[in-house]
Amino acid sequence: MMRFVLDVYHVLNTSCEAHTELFSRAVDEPLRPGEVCGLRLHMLYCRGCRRFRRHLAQMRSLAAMLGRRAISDAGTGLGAGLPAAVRDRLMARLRREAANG
Amino acid sequence: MIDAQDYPAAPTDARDGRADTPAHPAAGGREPREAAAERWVAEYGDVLWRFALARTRSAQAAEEIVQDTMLAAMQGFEAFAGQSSERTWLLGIAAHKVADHFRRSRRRKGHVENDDGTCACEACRRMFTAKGLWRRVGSRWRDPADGTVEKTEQLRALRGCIDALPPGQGEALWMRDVLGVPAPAVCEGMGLTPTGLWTRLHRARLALRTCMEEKIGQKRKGRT
Repeated sequence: MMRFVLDVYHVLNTSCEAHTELFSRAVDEPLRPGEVCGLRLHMLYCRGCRRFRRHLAQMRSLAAMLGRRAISDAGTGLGAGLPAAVRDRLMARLRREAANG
Repeated sequence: MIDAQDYPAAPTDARDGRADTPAHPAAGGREPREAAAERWVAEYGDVLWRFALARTRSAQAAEEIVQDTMLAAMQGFEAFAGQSSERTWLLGIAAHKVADHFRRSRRRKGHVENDDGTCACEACRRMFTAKGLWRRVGSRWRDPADGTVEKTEQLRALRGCIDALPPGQGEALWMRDVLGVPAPAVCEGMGLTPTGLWTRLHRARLALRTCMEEKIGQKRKGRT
């Protein structure tokens, strides 16, 4: 209980800059209940933090989509297979290697 | 299209035992090394390439990794007794080569790695007043439906912004947020403590937000 109150108090008394760290940490690990509660209270009146949290979530979902999708840029599309030129170089190297034993 | 299964998945997982993997040829008549290598390129070249490219984001590094993997596989061919499928075996080697790549690039960067992030943070510090309050509220980012041109634009913007991050941050964010690699695995791959990774991700996300705000934020009219 003490921990909870201290966490809420602490969150409410730190700057928005410090809050962004909490939002970011929340992505990777669960925050303590007091920290969550403190942030919720803070966000009731802080538009900047509300917006930041939303941006984080949007970036996360875009990033995950980027991971799933083939975004081709300058011929190095993540979804494409081994390019023919690379394959040729690779085969040549392997044959050389095999010839040398 | 990316084979989603190849994605965050660690190279050793159950589906590798699938039936379409041919029985290991070394079990019966021994296949010459050269023939085996050619077969690997044909069968697993694409998978290895995607695996390496997704992790390193560099075609040059991916090519090196695929090549080193094949060479190492030729060396270790006799020792490979077929306990796992060839696919698992090759991906396992590739995972080591990727780790080597990051180790090497860390060493090349030397001490720069230590204060990694400060430069990006400079830009981010302008987000806040001296007291750490928001200097301005971020603009609303539109959330277009999947498959629309606008969504693709946003994805492209994100890609550009990630590439513009300092390398250490970019790598960490790419592994964690884009590929969805679990945090402990990222720590291990990059040789970071959990706190180190967390700090780096935080800086990366702040920088990313600043960059994305410039690229996809709605132009504000008058008052912020």
